[in-house]
Amino acid sequence: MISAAGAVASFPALGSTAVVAVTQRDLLAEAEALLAADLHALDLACSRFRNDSELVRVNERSGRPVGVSPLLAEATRAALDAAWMTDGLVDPTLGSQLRAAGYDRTFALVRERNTWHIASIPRPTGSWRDVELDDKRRTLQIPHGVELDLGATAKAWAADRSAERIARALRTGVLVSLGGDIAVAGPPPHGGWPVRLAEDHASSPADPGPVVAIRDGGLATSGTAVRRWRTDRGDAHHILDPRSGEPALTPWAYVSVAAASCLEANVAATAAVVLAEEAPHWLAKRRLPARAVRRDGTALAIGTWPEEARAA
Amino acid sequence: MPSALPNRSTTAHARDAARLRLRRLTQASVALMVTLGGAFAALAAGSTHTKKAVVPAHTVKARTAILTQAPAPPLVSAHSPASSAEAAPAPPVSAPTPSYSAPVVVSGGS
Repeated sequence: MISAAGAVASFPALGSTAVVAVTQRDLLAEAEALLAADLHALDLACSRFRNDSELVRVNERSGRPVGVSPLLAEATRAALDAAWMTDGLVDPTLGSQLRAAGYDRTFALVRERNTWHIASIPRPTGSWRDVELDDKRRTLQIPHGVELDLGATAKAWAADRSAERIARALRTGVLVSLGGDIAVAGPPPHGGWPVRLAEDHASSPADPGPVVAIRDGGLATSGTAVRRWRTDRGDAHHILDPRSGEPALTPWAYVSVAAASCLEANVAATAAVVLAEEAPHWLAKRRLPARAVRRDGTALAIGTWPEEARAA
Repeated sequence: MPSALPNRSTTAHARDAARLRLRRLTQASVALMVTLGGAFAALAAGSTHTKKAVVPAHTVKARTAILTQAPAPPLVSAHSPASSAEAAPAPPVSAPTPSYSAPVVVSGGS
């Protein structure tokens, strides 16, 4: 696709949609190839649903140090940083809780299954503080019985990483979106990269809705409407409250945040969903521009979020 | 790009290095206590005093529990506030602006 901002390509990846856009249109194919290679490697390292992934191997050997690749080490570091940044609100050690809630396979399969019986959800213990990542020996040890899940941060972290890599390699302005988590790098198009905000990243950019432009950093949106499934206890979704281990009770349909990186934006957006009514104050205190949309469609602009984008 | 977030790489490395140092110090301290406990016990056994100064095993275990449960040192860098509540994600260099151009992508839930 060619737009005023540049050339755009998209393809399925990581159970979601990957989008790459470049200001120099003749570089699109190369940019797409670079991104696809990055995502293939990421899937092999960090997927919770592949028997051959490094992450599955680490989880199977909980309680013991396991040698890991630089990629998994860095992705884990990003996840632990997110936990530290949010004092545990975004917690990468809730894999067991997600599984117990019904997210025990790829989301396409969860959706097909349509319902799930929740026997019990183990109470979280803040185990992220006990994850040991040794950069010198390149080993990773998670507490016994804990399951690491990088789903909350891996896409955003990878978007940052790939955007920088593509911009550097091809010397072009670039936008990378992974499941709606957006990172930009290099010189932006005139006026910035135009991005539509919505509940579902898979909706068409041409659909009606608020549009903002970003020039640097990242923009991410977290919501509970897309990755949602039925259980015998009612609907469940993928954003767990680490204080209970259960799907977060939140008034927000979705929250969009802009920050210095996509990882930071995504972490803040996810934390905002968990924080519920405390989210606007938490975001404003950190001077993060954000837009929080309630289930009835009313939108709240936070910080320096532009006025024109208030309309839902 | 500047970030209000403490340098994640440096700080995280410092955190984990500190944690490893603490664990090694803990292990060394426990080993020393056990050694000293044994030495004192042997000394007491060899003394003429009727009361034996034996270090109870549960005391050693309790000390071990306290030491191994000691919290990791807080993550601070020279440039960041000490409290984790303020160690926040960094705002963008430039905030989003309204756009009337055709969007290239959608930011939404996934």
